[in-house]
Amino acid sequence: MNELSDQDLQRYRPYLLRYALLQLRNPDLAEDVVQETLLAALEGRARFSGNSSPKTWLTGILKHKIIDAIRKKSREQPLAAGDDGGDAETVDTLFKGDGHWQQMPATWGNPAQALEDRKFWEIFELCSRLMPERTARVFMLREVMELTTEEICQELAITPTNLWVILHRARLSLRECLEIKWFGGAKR
Amino acid sequence: MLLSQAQERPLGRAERWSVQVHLFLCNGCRNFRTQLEFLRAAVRRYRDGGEAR
Repeated sequence: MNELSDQDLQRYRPYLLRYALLQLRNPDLAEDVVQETLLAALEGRARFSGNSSPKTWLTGILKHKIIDAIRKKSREQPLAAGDDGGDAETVDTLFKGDGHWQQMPATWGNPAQALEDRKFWEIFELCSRLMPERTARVFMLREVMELTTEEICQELAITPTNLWVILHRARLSLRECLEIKWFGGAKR
Repeated sequence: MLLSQAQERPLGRAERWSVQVHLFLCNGCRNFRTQLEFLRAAVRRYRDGGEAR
């Protein structure tokens, strides 16, 4: 059985770093977590059976390290239910009293095309970073690490309703930002 | 709000009905639903490093 070499593993470093950065939003923390992952992979590589791809295997280790880091951070800075950094007021202005849109979301035409444009991705990164840290953390747990509602609620000690409100706000802010900075001027 | 929740959990029959009726009438909300799906796809593609260089 071929054992993975150190070089093999290092090849995945940029991918792992990007993944960790997306989730943790802190370059130093992301760096630490990736280092720990590669170290764990190196130490455990005899156990890698080759049933999945190295990337999948490494991502699995990384996810655990990321959750550990988030858990540790949550203990130091608990995520309170309504505490999303002022997001609430901003988002509430998007809706009228009856709960419906203040300004209707416009059509974005064929948004899939945007995914091929490098400039779109720059804007996308910008908009992601605009999200308050705690909102982003939750949003990324759901969308990047694809944890279930139950898993996230357990990790962060929040209720499903809290979770859905936070996710909803995250999506609204991302959507709004992209509409303003990229898809703006589209027909209603 | 229900459209957003639908990304997390299956909606009950009454909820689905109320969403369907509303979407029939509301252009903005139809756009929103399409946009939610796009956001999800974009985040995952970004995560997997599939963006254009």
